[in-house]
Amino acid sequence: MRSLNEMRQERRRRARRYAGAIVCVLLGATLGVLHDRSSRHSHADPVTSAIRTGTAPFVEGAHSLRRWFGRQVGWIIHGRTLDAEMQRLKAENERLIAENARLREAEITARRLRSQLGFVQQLPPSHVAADVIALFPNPNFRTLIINRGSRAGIRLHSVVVAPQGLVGQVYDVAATTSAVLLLTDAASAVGARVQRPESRAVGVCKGNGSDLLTLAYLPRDADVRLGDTIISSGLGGTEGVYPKGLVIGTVVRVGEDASGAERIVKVKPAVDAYRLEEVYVLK
Amino acid sequence: MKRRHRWLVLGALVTAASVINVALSPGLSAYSFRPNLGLCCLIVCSLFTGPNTASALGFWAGLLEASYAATDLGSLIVSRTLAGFGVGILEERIFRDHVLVAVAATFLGTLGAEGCFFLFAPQPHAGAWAIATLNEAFANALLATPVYYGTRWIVHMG
Repeated sequence: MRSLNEMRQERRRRARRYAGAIVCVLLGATLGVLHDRSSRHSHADPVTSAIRTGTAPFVEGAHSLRRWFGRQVGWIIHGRTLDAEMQRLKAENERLIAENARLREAEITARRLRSQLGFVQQLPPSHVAADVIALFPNPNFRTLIINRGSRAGIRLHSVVVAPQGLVGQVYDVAATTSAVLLLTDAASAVGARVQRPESRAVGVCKGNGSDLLTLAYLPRDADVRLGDTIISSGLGGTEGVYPKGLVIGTVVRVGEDASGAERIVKVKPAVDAYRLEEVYVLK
Repeated sequence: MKRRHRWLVLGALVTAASVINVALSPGLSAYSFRPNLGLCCLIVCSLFTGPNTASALGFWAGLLEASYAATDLGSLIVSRTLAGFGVGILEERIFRDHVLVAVAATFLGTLGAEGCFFLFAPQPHAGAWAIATLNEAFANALLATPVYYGTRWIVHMG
């Protein structure tokens, strides 16, 4: 039979075994609450901000190494000239697609402006160029990290774009880095409009964690067709962050749900997040 | 290597794995199988230590992951801490120094950690989340073998 003393020692030993976990869980929960509070007040959380600032150079280095390695492998597979030519043509194609969309939007706007007196055209906002240093750092969220933060004037909910179109919005800012929530993340939503002049239907483009977006809340009689370009409408959103006229993507599927009550429109984002290297943050 | 210095080496390994995961995440994935190298390394490293150190490693891995995810910070830290603790406490129950134990622990540990995370921070599209978690667990289990042998070599090097 064990003595009382032995039982006390056993209890103490057990308590010591769980002490580390209990302290870490409590500390983690406290940090979580503090982070949420900082985010709610649009402040950078000092703990995560310090960790990200401290590790960002290593992350950036590893990311650059990966890019360099990718280029070397690309050269081995395609040959140096072919690879360079392909990169040039791809960049030119992307530029032309974006330019075409911009010109079409400008044409529609000009036509509308002619018919509306007193229209005040908003000046394009200033922007900061940033490199993507980490893509999908957590497999469960559609986010990326850029190498510009509050020191470069980036603020919470700043809009992030690429030459091809809209990328997402800044949702966490540290001194030298920022986290960007992509349009494809399940927490993302942007007011959207069909660019075609005959349609101009308005809805909300929502992410769902996959590579495609869902265009929801469309009127039942909305005219949406395959291949339609979807742009930001500038409407809605609690933060009202996305300016009007940014290219979101192209309609790749139009259908109805099983009950026929709701239309299902899938949109392929104009920006391929997997190939993003540089982005622009609108201030 | 002296056991009292082991936590430093394991901590450095978890840090390196988390940084690599952040920087190379899409590059590590194949089709829809996207591993979480930080979580995989945490679980394997926890096999080489007790529950308290494993909890601290989990806390650190969670903090690093949460700093870059920048959302659901508390849930990420607590779920990783519990995963580390769960694997660390196996020390007193089973013989852990075997690669198959590492593979099984990584698969189940990933499901456990992500399950805990979902419990603390429910995400939209639960079905898609479950499939992604299952894929992540398979991918982590595949990575567990090289990570286990690498960690074992480093830990026993001294």
